[in-house]
Amino acid sequence: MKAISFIHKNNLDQWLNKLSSKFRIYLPVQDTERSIIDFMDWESYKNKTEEKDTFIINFTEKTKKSPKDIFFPSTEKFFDFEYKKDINTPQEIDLELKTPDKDTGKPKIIFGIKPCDIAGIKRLDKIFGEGDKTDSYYLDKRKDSLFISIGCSNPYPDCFCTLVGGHPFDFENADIGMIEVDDGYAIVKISEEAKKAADEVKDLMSEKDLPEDIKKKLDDMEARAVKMIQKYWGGTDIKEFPGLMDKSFNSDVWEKVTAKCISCGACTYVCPTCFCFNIRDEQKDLKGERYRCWDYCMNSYYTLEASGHNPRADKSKRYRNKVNCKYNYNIKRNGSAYCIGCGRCIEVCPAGVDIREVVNTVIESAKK
Amino acid sequence: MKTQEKLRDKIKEIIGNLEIVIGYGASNLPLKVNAEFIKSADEANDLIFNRFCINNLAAYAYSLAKEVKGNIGIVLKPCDIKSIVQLLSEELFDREKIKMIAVGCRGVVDYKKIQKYTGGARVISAIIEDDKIKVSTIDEKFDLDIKDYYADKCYWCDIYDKPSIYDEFIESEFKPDIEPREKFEDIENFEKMSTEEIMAYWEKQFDECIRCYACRNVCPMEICRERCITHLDEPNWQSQKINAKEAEFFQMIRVIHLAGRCTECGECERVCPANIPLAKLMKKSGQIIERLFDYRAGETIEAKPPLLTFKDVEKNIKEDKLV
Repeated sequence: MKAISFIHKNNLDQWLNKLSSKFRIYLPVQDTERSIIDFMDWESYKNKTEEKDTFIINFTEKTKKSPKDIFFPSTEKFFDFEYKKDINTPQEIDLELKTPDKDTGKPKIIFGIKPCDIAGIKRLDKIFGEGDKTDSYYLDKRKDSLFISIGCSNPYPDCFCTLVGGHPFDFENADIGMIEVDDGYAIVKISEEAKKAADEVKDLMSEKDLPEDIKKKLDDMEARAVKMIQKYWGGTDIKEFPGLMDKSFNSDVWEKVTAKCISCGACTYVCPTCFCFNIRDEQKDLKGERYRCWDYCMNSYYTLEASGHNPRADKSKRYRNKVNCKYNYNIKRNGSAYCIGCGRCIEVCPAGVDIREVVNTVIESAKK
Repeated sequence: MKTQEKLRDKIKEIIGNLEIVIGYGASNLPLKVNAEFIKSADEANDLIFNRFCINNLAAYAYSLAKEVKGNIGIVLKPCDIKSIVQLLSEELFDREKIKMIAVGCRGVVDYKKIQKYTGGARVISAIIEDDKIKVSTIDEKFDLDIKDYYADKCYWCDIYDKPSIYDEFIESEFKPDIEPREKFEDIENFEKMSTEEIMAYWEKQFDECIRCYACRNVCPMEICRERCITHLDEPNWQSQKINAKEAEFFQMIRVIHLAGRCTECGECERVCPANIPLAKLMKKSGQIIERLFDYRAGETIEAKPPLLTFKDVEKNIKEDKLV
């Protein structure tokens, strides 16, 4: 990896301010009062810091939720509807639909996004943006957005991106790739699309080669990645997973590994690649709205049929489906695991279910 | 002998008569422990007990009592036993069904308090050495006094070595070092705010809710998980939208549902991914119930929960003064 250019830490605000005239910027902000880190847009961040000094930008930590809700909000209105009746012609009912204004604002920049989260959004792009049916709600928001990514130099005990084909410094899908160095950020990649965004701040940047210690850090990362593969999954290639998962489908190992799961939705709601949603009409008197909201497969109502039959009535079946969705069905359908190894589900799980261990136990049992 | 070893030995001794035992197991993450389900004596060595064992394993009691044919052993701290007592007082399963393996406790560390101290910076390692918790985040290292980081409930706990009922009891190796605090002090301070301020506070909190229902599903008393009114379409009491208003409405349902049943174990607050201080709500409802009915949930099996029974005249409710 070679540095193209360099931006000093003190110049970051200036860059963000310049970018914000053409882009809507989201970046990871830590709310120290609530001890939560989440993506926030630059304007709200500036407003909040004027009120209070408890908000700080934090590029090191992993955000609590994934950035997927920037493009795929947890609740999204499709339209309002209203039935119109006239007292003189009661048989005739008119229906009026009102769609909300489209998101025609500035294109977005997700600033400081980690390589794993970009991989998550790339997975969603396949679901919502490819094939013969595409999702205009998602695509409208996603259009022209850029990722300015900062390499992840400090993985956590629950990080495992290298096990699912990722890398802490994987900038393949980033528009601008940066690596933190002592007094700023070394820029190692600028895509065609991002040239304009980078050109604007040329005067703030200077050329500087990657220092020796950063090169060493990159090597250490590689070594750690290899070690992690040995610790979990016995070095099994992800391509072999569908076969092994199919083999273990009826195994009783699923009941064992999911015994402690409490069937809440925390893991799916923080997951960068979970894309299930529900569409609902909610009506009061003659007015109502249609909206979509996130749904979660750990809930027994998710598959409850009108007949009363539930094909996934037990939590072991639901969890089996979740793991298969991520490590089997989507590898077959879309060519990659629908897990990016961010470890958010492990951190957030009230019962301490560790998906790495679950997958490990399942594939080991299938190999026997 | 250490508590953990005594616990393992005891379980090896009794597991033959039990179909399953639930205890604490090691987590891959610092500051945390997992629930561990074991079926044989060999597996007993996977169980641990230390001052990070904050989880209330009574959460599994009701659903397992229905699923499992034989008897179930659960490792419980004296405060966790209150949840089982409450479930028994509501006659939700037979006394023999759950073997209570009580472990004396001198306070458990609340990892959310440590996260609050680090301002949300993730802890990558933590060990307890004597009365200090040695914590590191990526950028910093801290030595924290353990006495300031116990779970809130520990500061007014008076049953740490005397559970009301149990089948087995293992004494704690730890020395008591908790300075007791006034239980309702924080609630009383909170209520000094104006109604507008309180409403604004909660709106800000609930705005962060992701509606994952971890608070509901981890609660030992919420036995209606799969029959929750939030999932009903007809009538559609609760919208599926994820916003502050709906989250607040859902929590109000929880509070009313748990009034006089909640044993204040604090699990709802512990598991909340959005760090919403849910235990505050539960504590307030407990305070009201205590004042009105002289009742505290989870104390005895014989006492009937006030909202599950009926009296002609309630001593502390002056009906003429209600309006």
